[in-house]
Amino acid sequence: MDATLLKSILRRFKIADYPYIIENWKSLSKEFSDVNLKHVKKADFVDMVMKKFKHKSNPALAIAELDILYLQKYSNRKLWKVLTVDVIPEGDSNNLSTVAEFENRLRKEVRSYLNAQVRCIEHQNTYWIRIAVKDAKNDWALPSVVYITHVPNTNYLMVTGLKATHKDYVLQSLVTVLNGHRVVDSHLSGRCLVSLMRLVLNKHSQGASLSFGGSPRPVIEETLPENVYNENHIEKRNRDNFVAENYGLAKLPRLEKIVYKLDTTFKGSSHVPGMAGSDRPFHCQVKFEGPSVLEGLRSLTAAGLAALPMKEHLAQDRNTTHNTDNTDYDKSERDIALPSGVAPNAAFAYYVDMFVVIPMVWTLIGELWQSYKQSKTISKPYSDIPAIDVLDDKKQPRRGDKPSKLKRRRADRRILKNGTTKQKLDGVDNKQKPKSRRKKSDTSREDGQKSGNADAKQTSTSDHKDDDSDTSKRGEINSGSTLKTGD
Amino acid sequence: MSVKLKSPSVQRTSRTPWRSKRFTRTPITRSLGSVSYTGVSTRSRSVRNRRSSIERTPEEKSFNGLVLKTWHVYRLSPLYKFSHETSALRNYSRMLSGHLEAEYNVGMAVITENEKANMAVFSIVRGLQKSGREPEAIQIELKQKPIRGDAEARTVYTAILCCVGASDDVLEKVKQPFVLLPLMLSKGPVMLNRYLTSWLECQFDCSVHAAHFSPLSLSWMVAIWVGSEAESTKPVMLKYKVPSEVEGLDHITLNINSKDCKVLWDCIHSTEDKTCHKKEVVTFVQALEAHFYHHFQINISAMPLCMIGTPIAVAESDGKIKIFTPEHVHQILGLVTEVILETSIEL
Amino acid sequence: MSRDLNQFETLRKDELLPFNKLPIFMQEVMLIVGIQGIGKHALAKAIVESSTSKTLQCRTATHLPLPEEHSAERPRIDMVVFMIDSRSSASYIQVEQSLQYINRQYFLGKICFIATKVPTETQNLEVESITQLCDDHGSCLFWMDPTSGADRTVVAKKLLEMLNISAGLKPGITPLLTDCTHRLLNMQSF
Repeated sequence: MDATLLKSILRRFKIADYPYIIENWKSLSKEFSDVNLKHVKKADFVDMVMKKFKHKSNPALAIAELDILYLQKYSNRKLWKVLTVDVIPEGDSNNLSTVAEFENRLRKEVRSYLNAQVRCIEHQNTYWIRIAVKDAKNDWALPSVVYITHVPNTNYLMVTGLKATHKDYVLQSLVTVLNGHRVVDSHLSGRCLVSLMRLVLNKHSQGASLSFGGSPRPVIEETLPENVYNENHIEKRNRDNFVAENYGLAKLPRLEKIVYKLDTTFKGSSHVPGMAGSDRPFHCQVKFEGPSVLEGLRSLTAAGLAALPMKEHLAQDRNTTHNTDNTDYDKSERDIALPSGVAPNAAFAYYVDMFVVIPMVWTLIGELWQSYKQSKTISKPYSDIPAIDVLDDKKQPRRGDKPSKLKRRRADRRILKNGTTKQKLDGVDNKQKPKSRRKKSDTSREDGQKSGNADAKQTSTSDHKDDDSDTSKRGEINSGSTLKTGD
Repeated sequence: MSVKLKSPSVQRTSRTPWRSKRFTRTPITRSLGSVSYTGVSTRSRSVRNRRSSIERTPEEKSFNGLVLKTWHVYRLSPLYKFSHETSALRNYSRMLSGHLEAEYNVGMAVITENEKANMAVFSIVRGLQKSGREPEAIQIELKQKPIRGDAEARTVYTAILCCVGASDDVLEKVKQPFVLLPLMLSKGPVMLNRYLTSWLECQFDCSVHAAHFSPLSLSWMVAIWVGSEAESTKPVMLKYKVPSEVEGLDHITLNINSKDCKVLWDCIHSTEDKTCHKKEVVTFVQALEAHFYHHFQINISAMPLCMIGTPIAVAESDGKIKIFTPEHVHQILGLVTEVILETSIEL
Repeated sequence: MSRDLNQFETLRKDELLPFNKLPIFMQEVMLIVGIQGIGKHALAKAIVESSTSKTLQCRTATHLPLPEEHSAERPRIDMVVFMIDSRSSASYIQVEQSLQYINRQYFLGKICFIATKVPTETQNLEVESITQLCDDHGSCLFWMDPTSGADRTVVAKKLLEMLNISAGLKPGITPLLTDCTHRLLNMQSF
């Protein structure tokens, strides 16, 4: 069985990868020192490896290493899912400082539940874990393998190949090993592991050009002959600047899909007067698909298909691990429970929660407060670009609308304008929509913001209970994951 | 508003000369046919009595073969001297089988054993016409009979030629000996499809073209099909193709709850009205795009529609449809027939 | 120059006027209006390349009214070209809205429309709506594929001819003359 497994893994590689294997496969590296790879065919190589393998004392380790090598090279063939582990902050000191200890501990945990082989390898500062679960019934069947990537000292796990039957066991063992108490699905998945890591780990990086550490793309300026003159070049320049500031010039991480769920009232009533007065939510879901959706969104703006000012959630959502549940009038962002050590400054991170299906849940109906509440410790997307201020200020408050995040954002921006730092941990600066409670939307936004902080606090505390009950009702939105408000 | 200039001495025509020649226009109104097949017009009653072969037993049962499968839509020009008689159909079956044999012997294409078919069966599909004047639908099945043993022949490829709800003036234009069966639904391997179309073209002197649904036709489809009663919880889907200048993003899909969509459609179009006006369709789509624009500030109207889905059917712009319920087969196929009859063949 | 305003006319503030500035010797200026990404700059480059005149100016805009910042330095516009993309109804709507900002004197032969990407399978707009728009405004219509260099050159040459006439550089021929005769030829209904 080992031999067949090894063969199958070997066959997956391409001939061009053989030098890579020889270099990195530690178990068999000694035997490979004399191998001539010039015109080797696949079958020959496989035979050769099988021969050397027969004498190996510990075949499982060798297989595991090879498997992980394959995965490191071809990680984009699998769908990776990001999970966040809630770590108990005051847990005992982390005695898993080396890979070996980590592996042993994990093996103990997993073995207590499942009949599985566990292997951990450290590569470029990340742990690559392979758990091969043997099916109880069929001994001869190939094991179903779960691959997990973990960056030590962070809470994130990238998992692929996790089957429902042993999902609970594997996750439970991981949680125990990492001293956590719960695993939360962060609704982020994709094929490009590197991008996922960048998104997850660089949550707090700010500033477009600094984000993600990629090298900035050169901005291609269109050169027009001297007789051709673009009347709207100022607009174009503004748009390019906006794109550069918001999205950065660097290559954006690759995400395959972004899904938004909208539960707002119908907004196209200018065309259909019959729907104008209706309070009924118009449920719809919007999906953006493509090889690299973030790049696409950036090009959309650059190509003029997306009008400025860009909607906050598109420009800034990338910052978040915002799958929100807030019931703002339009969008709700599910604030992910951030570990308390993390500064809520994350708001601006250029990072989006995207996954193969990322629900950015926009629930409208209901309490505007929720977002407000949760916004206390949760980072909010902010825009530090004055251009947005200017552009947004032109928006008129809409009548008949439920109070908005927009109001809150506005307040944010006012704070920004005054030069104070963006993040405040207390909820005070985070907007209030005092009026929202009364659901009168014809009060102007300015009034709303000027109402004192005290009001906000009071109302917020009184509503807190309501919020919790509401969020619990909305549990179904995030299947399986739970919300945790910062309070 | 801009002023229309009318110079007194020159008569300005309101028609640009090339328009009618090259481009066909979509109609301003379409009639929403009744869902169930009860409408046999009195005019054709005599025809109906003659053709006693038209059954009126529940047709929904026979449509199970149509439902829940993805069909490719082709447009056929009228067939010359196509006969519906059983002897003629048997003849056609024989000829087509012979043609298939010949093609395999030529051996130009690579066909896997699974896809080979050595038997053709022509049969009549009852109940797919809306009025008695339309020719009956024909089903062509290419089957693979196993060489050894007596096992049943396995259907490898199916095609249905039908005419559902063509307008009267079109039917009048097509006179004997031509038979109008413009809609061909095909399902199966591409090579077999090609053999069949080449045989049809040779045999009946027609031309077969793959249908293509323009974004306008798709918006007609989505509007009309949303209006029909359906119990399904499938969402109403509008899928837009992002222009190629935008790299990285391929499609934008809107999935809307079907009940909410129906409410919207009812606001625009009253349920008693049997004809659907083009303005209503345009308003419907524009309203949805405005809702999207409000949230995303993205001009989705600048992108062409490439796929629509409703609780009763799904249609793609490259000519694929899939029907979910047998009750609405007539309505769906009727609209598809109308749409393909309108597109000019050059496109 | 003064305009007669009778009681039924209102002069829009941002209107593009054909004769509100003095002409510069031998200069011809064309304005191409169309949404972003439709191929205006490619067409403008083709026009500039086909022309031998050094004083030709091609200005492009995404919508009217033109931004006010440079209205003082802007020379008078001799001809306006509207581009409509049949794949996007947004382009049609934008052209419709921009047409409200054109002074009616332009419609006497100084305006023309270009429809791009017709016929294609992914047409969002009906051809009829574009032709109806042109007929309503009594202007001529060109068909163009913006990606094809040959198409661009052909249309560029035609536009140059029209521009020469609009700028008054062809002795004895005015845009009104071409407009009338152009219409007369097309009067026979086919």
